[in-house]
Amino acid sequence: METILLTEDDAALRGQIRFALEERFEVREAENVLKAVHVLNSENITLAVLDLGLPPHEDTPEEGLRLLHYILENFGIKVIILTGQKTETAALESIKSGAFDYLVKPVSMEQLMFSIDRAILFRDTEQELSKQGTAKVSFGIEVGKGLQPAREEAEKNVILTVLKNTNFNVYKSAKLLGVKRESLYYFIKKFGFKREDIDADS
Amino acid sequence: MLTLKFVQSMYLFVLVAGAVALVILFYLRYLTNRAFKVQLRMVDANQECNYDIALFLPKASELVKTAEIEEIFYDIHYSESTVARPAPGTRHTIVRTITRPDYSISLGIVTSSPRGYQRYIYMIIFETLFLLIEMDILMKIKVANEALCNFSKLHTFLLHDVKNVTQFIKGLIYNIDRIKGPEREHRFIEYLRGSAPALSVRTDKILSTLEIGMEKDEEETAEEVDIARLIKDLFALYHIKGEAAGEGALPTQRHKMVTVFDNIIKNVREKSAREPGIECFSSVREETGSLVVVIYDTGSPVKNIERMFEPFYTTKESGLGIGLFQARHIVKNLGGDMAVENTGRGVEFTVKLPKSAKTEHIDAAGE
Repeated sequence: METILLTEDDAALRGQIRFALEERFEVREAENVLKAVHVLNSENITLAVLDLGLPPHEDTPEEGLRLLHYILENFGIKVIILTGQKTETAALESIKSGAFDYLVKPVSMEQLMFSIDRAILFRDTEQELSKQGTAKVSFGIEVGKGLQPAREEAEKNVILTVLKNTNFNVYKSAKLLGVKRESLYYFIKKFGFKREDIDADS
Repeated sequence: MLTLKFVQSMYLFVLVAGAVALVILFYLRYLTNRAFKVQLRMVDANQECNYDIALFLPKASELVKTAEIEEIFYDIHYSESTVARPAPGTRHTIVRTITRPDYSISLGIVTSSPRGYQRYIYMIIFETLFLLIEMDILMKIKVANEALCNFSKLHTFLLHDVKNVTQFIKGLIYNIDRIKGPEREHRFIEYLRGSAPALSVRTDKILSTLEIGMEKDEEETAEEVDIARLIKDLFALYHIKGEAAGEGALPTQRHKMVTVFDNIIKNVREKSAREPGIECFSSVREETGSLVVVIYDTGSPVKNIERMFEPFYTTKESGLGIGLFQARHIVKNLGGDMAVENTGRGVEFTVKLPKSAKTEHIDAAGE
């Protein structure tokens, strides 16, 4: 069963969302960033629904964005933003950081459920593809600067993903990527990858 | 002998020259005085017109005529507004134009004789007029920007709570339709019971924010509000470490009291996020005709504490500066007083609420 982390500072609203979700999922609650981090580290959370306006800065998205980055960097789970922050900057920052969806309050609970189902479907499909050797790599590029930067960014992300998955084992990585070890060393040097950086990230 | 004769022959000339110089001096003094008077009248007129250039410029046109400036013409653009009077097409004009990102001013005067000392007089008046116009525009832009900024803050402040309440209602409707079985029903009621205090605080806050600046509603019904109990509940709601002591109640509108004490206690909660481990203590006591509530935290002192109740003043990066202003506004409207100071034990809020004012109101309502 999915275990969803619901981070929302409004206790009344949290109760209603929790009641709706717990019919189908395990739900863990957090009212602030500290509590959310504690839950993430102590439970096997598989998906997160996150409000951006969290204490002590309820009226700005900064606390929520901080938590979003933390979740994506450390747990790699799908995150659905459910927030009252309708600013373009917050939406842009969330999507750019890798949030799965951005829902602006008030939203129908059906929409929230639909978004959760889609997130689960995407995650499962990605996992299935990963088993078949197809890794989903996402990256941001500035359109209009030619294809060279996009190609380099794609190469960089693919190599980084494989190196992470193999624990920086160059032999295994080269085999998985279908390139010679010498070529892989060339890319590692070119992109400045270091074992300690990758270890620290993972 | 020769010198004496020379002085005798020049005597008349010296007298005439001196007289002419005096006349010139008096004339220049007259011109300068007239220019200063025009300047002062323009400053006064600007003030009388409430620094509105659309009203001020026609008055200024009349005033400058005293200094032999025949006419003024202008083409001024600022904050989507335009004030213009076309140039008459005469020869003797002085014109100056400036263009800034938020405004542009083109000002000209038509003079009768733009030469000699008179030209300096014209320039003094012209520069003063230009300066007044620019000052009015800058003031208007600043006031408009501040108002918009403050409105946006108030809007953000309300929107966060309104959206959460709306989302709560949507969740409630969704859940009511899906309750199956007594166990879920029981659970739903438990959630609702748990939600009630938070929901009540939020709706009270919305209501009180909307009431900022409104006249006192004499028709509003007062109820006996247990202030000590309310503070204890807020301590529990925000997980405040410390102790809420004392006893005291007064007849008033509950939502107003919730907003006052919620804003103070929330301030402590926000502070405790930055300064973990701080505690908060409150006491409620009755004094002659008043209820005195003291709430203090054990955290660090606040800089510029005298500005804490200033509307839209905040030291927090993401703060809006509305909460404490709103709290004091409510207390003052009830005839009470609210103060804050850095004391030896921490930041201390003192709220003094009159017991009698609302009692009279209830008596009057009962009659």
